[in-house]
Amino acid sequence: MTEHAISENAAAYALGALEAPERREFLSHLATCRSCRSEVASLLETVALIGLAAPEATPPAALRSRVLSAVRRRPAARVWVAVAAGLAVVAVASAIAGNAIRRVARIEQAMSGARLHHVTLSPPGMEPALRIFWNHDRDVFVVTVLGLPPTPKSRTYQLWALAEGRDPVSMGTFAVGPGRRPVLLLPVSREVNALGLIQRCALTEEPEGGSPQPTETPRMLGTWVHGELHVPMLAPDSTR
Amino acid sequence: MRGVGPVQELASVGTLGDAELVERMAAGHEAALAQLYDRHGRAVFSLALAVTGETADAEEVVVDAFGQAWRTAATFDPARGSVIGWLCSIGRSRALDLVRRRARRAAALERATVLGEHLLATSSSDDPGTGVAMSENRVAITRALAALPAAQRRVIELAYFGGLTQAEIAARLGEPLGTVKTRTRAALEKLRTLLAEEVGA
Repeated sequence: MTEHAISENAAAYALGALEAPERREFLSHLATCRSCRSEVASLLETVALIGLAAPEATPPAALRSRVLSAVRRRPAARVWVAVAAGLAVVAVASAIAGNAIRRVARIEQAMSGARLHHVTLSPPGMEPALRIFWNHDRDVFVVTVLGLPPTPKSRTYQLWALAEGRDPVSMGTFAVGPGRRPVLLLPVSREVNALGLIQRCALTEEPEGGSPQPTETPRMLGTWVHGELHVPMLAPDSTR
Repeated sequence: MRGVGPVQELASVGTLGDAELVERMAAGHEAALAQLYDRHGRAVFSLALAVTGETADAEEVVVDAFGQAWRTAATFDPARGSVIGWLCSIGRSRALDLVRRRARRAAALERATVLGEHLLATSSSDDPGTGVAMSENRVAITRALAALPAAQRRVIELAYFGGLTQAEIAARLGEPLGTVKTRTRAALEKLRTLLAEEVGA
């Protein structure tokens, strides 16, 4: 395929109008072609605005309260983001400030429940870099970063759920600061839930904001394992 | 935010830019979500109605879309695009998902081809329905789409509002795939240029 033909696919890709085999081919091209990546990024902004051309219609007044009450059932994941020391902090009883205890308690709450899968991702032959717990009852991923290089400027890490014969589905993106080992919560999207049987999990580095599909081959892979998690509970009133 | 009552918080969100609202939303502030709905709920609803064709479906899409925006607010990157663009992308995805799930594609495709007439009729800067001036972005995209040759506008409408792949568009229009690809690229590049001129972005 010539360069010219590929950049024709950039527009279709931005519209989500490529057939699956073409999309995969285009994605592997994107991984190596910066000019196509920046073309796609700029076309995506154009596509995003096309929706505003829809004929204007006034929503029913009751819709507002439906929207607001729908989110009350699901607290924002960001509230629980970035406890500095990873899962180990739950077990280690060193001096912990009050609000950190509340954050850890929320993470524990997110991980409670019998229906749990987990996956450990390591670079080949190396120590585990991150461990992810999937709480099916609460539709949340708990991502514990054990050791990952900090994300470069304008780049982000992105996690992918891999199911046999299906395109990777994004689990979400996150950044890692220098020397930080955050624990993050990522909501489980409808797309991930719709995948059915998911075998593996992959990590790639993407442009900031993430990509609809991976633009590089995975940096690390792991296989989901079903199991119960025993989280040593930090009692609410213990501070030492 | 200890000590800040709900009235005080509501008063402050009105002055925030969209990106700041999304940041607040990511931190769990419902008032920020409410403000974003007040600003952009109509746009997302209109888009959802254009894709699904049914008010009840469009409402469900709006609830889903703002729910997704709420849950993924921490991943929004203002450097990559506008908040309204982000909300429209989420709304469009949720709407196309619903249409596919409910196998209502045929009706959705009919609607996608009717949009052309609407655009030509309403490319002035006032919404004929309410007499209220449309947002700058809405004016820009409406004018830009109206400025496209009809054949180019058609492929964009079928791809965006109908969710069709290029192969499906080619089959539907009875055109070669290569022609559709060329038209899609030309259309999107022209839209991008026209939008940049109008909005100065």
